[in-house]
Amino acid sequence: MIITVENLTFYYDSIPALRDVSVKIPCGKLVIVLGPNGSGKTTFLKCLCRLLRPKAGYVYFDDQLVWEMDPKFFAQQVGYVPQIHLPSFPYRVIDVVVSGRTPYLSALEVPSKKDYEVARRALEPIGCEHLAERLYTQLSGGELRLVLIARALAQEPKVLLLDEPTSNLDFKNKIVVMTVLRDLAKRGLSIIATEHDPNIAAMFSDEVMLMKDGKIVAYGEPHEVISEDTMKSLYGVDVEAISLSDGDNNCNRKLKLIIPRIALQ
Amino acid sequence: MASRSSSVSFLLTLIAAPLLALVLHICIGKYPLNPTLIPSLFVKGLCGISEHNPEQLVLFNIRLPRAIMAVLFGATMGVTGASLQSILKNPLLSPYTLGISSGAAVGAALSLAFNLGVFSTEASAFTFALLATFLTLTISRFRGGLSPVTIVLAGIIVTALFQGVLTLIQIIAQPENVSAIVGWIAGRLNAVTWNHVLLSAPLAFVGMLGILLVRWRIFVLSMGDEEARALGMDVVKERLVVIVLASLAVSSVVTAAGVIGWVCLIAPHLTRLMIGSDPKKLLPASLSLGATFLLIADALAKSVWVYEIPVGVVATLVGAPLFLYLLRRSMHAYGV
Repeated sequence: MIITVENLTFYYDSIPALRDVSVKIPCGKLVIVLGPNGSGKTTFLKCLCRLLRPKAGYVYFDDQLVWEMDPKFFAQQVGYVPQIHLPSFPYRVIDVVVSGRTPYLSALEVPSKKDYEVARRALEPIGCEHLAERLYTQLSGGELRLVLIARALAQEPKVLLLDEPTSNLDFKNKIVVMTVLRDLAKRGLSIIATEHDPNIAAMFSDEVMLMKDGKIVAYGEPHEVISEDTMKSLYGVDVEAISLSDGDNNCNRKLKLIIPRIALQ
Repeated sequence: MASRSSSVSFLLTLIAAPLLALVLHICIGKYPLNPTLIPSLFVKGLCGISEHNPEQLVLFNIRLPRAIMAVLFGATMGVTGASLQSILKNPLLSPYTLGISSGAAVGAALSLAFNLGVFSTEASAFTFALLATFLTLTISRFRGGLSPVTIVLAGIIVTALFQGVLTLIQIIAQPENVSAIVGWIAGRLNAVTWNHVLLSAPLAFVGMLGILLVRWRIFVLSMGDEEARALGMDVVKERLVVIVLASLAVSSVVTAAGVIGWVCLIAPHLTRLMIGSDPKKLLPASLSLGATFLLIADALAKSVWVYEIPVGVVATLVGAPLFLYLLRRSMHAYGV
């Protein structure tokens, strides 16, 4: 699904969060949104998945206007993974994942055997089949994040939106989550995720979107967009960019990582 | 995944447990009935109740209405307690948090203190119970769009308001009316008649059935507003439907039997501790357990001492240790 954003504007009370944002996001790509705290990343994501209604502007999925889509149909197209989930009751993992089938159920229906099969299949790509019968209150932070991704996959969406999927995860789990997302994008899913670490974006994304003060300041392939200049203007931090290209240290693509100057001294 | 035979046996347990408790409840009392005689008494009773058969009179006029009221009350409290805890994401809530109990108490007190006569005590209690819920929802909507936190806060405010009014009525009222008010609020399964049962059953059934039918939506609502919306739900509307169903059912049974506490809290939690929080099973099981629990508590209430003990007191005395025991056993599930 191609996502087209036109002149998107949003403000909380009178505080602007998105100012006249326009962008076109192609399908089957992992797009990472980078930007400092308060730059409008989460607001942008929430406007895309109907959790916030834009004050002005439009969001189209293919040629359908998001706010004119039926909520159930929309939830069959778009999966959303929140940054924070506070478990209230000790549900089994499989029950949490199968709640992703809700957009396919009528108001009085409960999930069928087939829905449970879809939910079990959704646990496969993230390698969490073994967690199915566990209580999700007993999972680690990384496992919980993966389970929430599985729930979104059980929606069988065409677009996946994730709010800081790597926050609070350890080094390994960050890599696990990002690898999963990259593989899902290769299978044709359009994925947009917000992120704080430019190097995670550089290593795993297909395209990067830089946001500052509610505006998109750059959009493109990571090795083009993530540079000493853009990072300085985005975060106000002096960085040194280190480029790896084909053949360097077993690297088989263009990769540019950044290191804060202060760490080099 | 649960196999077919295990879900059949689950269903049978849900029906068998309150049935057994019902038989126990019917047979126990000042005038004990022999359980083996119950079927024949039933058959004879269907052909007409004889004035000269004391066993039949006890069964049909005293024991059955009380037992069925206990079933209705316990079942309603079990299923509404569990569903409200889910949709408001708070395991410490009960239907009384919405202000239903204090509303009903004020309604009954008004009628008893001023002998209004226009309305019966029941009608007045029911009206005020619903009025309290309506107030809670209105305040919450006014200030926070019916979010779980504002609903709970509004419920606390409304409860306090009605408690104040209740105290005021008790100060103004004649002493003999005050004891009637206190007695009404404490609950009186012992004074229940067929009229009470017939008046409260329809709305209790509608509420319970409605809640059971939307049990999956209730589960998804317990994931949180944003996530439920991302799954295509109309969160505010669907939450409102559950609250309205619950308050209709609760108001009608409270009107008939008084403010019996604790069942609404303990039945959902005992259920969670015994079978886990399985979203398909929790609500039916909580309904069944609520009925079973209140039947047993009431059977004890009318039999353990020379005087009847208020059933709410027994429910607390039996429920608290049972709850602690189960909690100790499955503390890990709550991440404690």
